[in-house]
Amino acid sequence: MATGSAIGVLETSLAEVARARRHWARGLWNVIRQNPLGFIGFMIVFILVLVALLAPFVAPYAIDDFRAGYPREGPSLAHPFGTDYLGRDMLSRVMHGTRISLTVAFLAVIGGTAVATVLGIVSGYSGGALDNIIQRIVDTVIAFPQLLLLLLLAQVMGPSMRTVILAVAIGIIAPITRVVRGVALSERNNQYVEAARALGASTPRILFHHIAPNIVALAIIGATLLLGVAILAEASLSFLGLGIPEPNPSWGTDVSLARTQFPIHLWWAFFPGLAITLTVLGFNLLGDALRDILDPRLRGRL
Amino acid sequence: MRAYIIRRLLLGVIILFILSIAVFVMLRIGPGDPALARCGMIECTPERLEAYHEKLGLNDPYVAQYLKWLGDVVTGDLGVSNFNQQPVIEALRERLPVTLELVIITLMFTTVIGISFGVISAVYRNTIADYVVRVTAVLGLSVPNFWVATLVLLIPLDLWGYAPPLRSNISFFDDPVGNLRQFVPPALVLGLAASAGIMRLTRSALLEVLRTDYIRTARSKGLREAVVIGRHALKNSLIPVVTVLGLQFAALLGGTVIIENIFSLQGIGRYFLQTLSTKDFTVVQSLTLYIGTVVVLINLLVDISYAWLDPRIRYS
Repeated sequence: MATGSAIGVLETSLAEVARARRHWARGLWNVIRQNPLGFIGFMIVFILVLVALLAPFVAPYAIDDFRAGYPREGPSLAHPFGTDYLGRDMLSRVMHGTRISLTVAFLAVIGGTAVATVLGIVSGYSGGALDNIIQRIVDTVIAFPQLLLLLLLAQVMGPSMRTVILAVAIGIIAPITRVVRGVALSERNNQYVEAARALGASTPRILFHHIAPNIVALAIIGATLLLGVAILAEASLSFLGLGIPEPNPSWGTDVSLARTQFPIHLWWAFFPGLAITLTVLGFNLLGDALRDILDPRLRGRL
Repeated sequence: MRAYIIRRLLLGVIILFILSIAVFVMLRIGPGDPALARCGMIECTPERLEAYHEKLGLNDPYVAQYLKWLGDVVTGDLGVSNFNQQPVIEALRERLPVTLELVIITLMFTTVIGISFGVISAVYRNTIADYVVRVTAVLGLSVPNFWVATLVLLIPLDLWGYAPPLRSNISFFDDPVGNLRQFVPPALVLGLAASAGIMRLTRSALLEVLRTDYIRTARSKGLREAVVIGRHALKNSLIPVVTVLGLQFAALLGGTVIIENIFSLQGIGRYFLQTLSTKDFTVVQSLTLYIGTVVVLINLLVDISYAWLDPRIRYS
């Protein structure tokens, strides 16, 4: 199918390519029109990624520049997000915070889902003792509130960015392994798998050549929604003082400091929290829309 | 059914056994020395510290330490805090009512708000009301509860200089109004994400049921729409909702760490964070096992109630 369409494209004339492009643009417009919220989510995520990439160039001040303004200023033209207790510019800190938040979330989700996908497929496809061991461990992790698990892991590994990424990834692995296992179990009994086995395909080939592609759509949707979960997890850990250590500008830490460093300063808490909300909202809206587009069977569920 | 329950209980014991080993090993490989809290910060000499190591059994081999702790727990002795020498059982007796009340009020809000707005959203599908409910639900899932809690406390303080009095826990039976004033705001914040989730679930479950044949039959019999939805559709669509409500319990227990911390409620979540930061190994281990047991039992209850709610489901 893929090679067929590639040859087809080669054979079409320039005019047809142009028409196909217009067609593609119209298709995109239809997708946007049917999912306005998803498009908003996409734009939020797009802008955030830009801010994260360009933070060092567009942020007006450095993250630790305590001569940027007076301590605890409200929003003004010079400091749209105000300043913190040391006089550091909050706009710059929130911009750099985007970097940290997105880095943690992307690395944790990519790593976590990759491990979970392998574990889930192996567990579901192999069955038997291996499946039993993996599933009992998954049971154990799920039987413990996730935030408490994160706190425990962060405490054990000591606060650092690497710790937070690892802890959030571990929190993701257990539930996703369960989901992937379920899918792999149902795929195992499909006829195309039987056919592949009859043709003499090896087990790893069946797993990663035949079964894995069917799980990819599910994985993309899941990963997008998980990014929001991961961002909230990092922010919560940092808020409780077991996340990204100072002077790194973590949104969660800033909300926490605004509450505990007297005298309190409302604006200092307001903007980092708003940034968290917008980021998670962006990923949630995008994830919902992707689910509707990629997997119509799931439309309207959860 | 009985065989099923027995099997699930055995499985629960296995899960708790793995959990107990995992938390024991994690605390031992991490940094920190539980004797330090007992020894004191300033007057702690190496000799004193060593004496406490010996006294607390921290010099014993790990296997011996684990078996001693597990033996104590199995016989009902959850250990003693290193920090203030308070028995864990006593601390739980003080703190459990706080966390329990917080979670119960939260679940009540979650149920009422989540289900009613979910029904509105499904019944008036694709109207303005539906969109408002759905967008609010996505927002509720996106907003971090610690930020909302912080704003709830900081905004009145910033505008009017008002701070709620910091008081120890007020018993509901001594002063119901004071107790509710203490518990309702944190419960509302804690329930934000949960009620948003329940709202979305109720909506999609009800929409699914409304497409079925028996609903078409009920409508064609000429039943009023309120009866069709209230008596025919809602009952079936609430089955997954009840399950998820039960499963929310574990997530809410985690959320209490944050909420109890911000609203200074002396509950179990806060106890966990405190003992974790003072490296109170015994307390953290016992507390982990205790919370794990509660979650395992609740999950079992949820699964049993599932069969009771939906007679088509039979466990073998």
